[in-house]
Amino acid sequence: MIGNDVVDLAQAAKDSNWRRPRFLDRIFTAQEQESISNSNNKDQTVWLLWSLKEAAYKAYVQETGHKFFNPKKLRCQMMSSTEGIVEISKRRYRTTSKLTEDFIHSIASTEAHEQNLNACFPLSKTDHGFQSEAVRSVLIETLSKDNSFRSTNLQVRTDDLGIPSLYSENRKLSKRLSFSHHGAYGAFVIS
Amino acid sequence: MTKDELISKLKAIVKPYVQDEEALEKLSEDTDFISDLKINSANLVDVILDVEDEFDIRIENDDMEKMTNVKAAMAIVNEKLAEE
Repeated sequence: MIGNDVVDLAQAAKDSNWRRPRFLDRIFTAQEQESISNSNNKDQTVWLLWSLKEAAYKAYVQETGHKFFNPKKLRCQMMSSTEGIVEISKRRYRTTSKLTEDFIHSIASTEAHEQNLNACFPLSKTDHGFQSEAVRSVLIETLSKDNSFRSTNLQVRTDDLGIPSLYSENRKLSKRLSFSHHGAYGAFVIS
Repeated sequence: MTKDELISKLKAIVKPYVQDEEALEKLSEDTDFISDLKINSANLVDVILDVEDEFDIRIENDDMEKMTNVKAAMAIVNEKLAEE
């Protein structure tokens, strides 16, 4: 199982005031709040931990089919500046993140899906519908250019829970994938 | 508070975070905050906090878990108001 999440840091700064009273306590465990308050770059730490929770949540929904809104239930621990672990009700996901000045892209996966193909890229428009289409097109384009990936006539379809699957010639492939877009960035992961 | 009053208060609360203006115009009990209004999940936290402030109630995380659509939000607000 695999999930990913991109945070556009400029967009996040514009849209969310994480310093508002009760905000952090809603989302982050006591231990996570401590790592935020000890951080030299609090904005980055807030959104890094947030992206971990979002990415792991997507992998969790893929695995269990259970949707809910309670980010605090996903407990993050950073093992290094880019590697982490997220735990939720006895399930455990490994995470890797790419951090730049402009965005954070995190991928969460179960052990079996550690090998993956992923990308994070700028998008030309911020419209939600456009972005949702664009990240799908970029994935299909990327796979079409990949000589080791021989399936043709690729399509992405999304089920009732919002979980995407890849189809070739109308047949579902046994691939796990996840899309994300935020602000000026789009991203995908496939394994 | 009538059902319509509650819906219109919720509509005003979610407005700043909505990315699909058309869906906001059509807001009803069946509207989902994420899949219909395209509210990003960080802003869903703001919605919860704004609902708490507007109605002067406190929503536990266990209640928040299901608060992803208008119907569930209305049920929780009514339940909390009745407790007071």
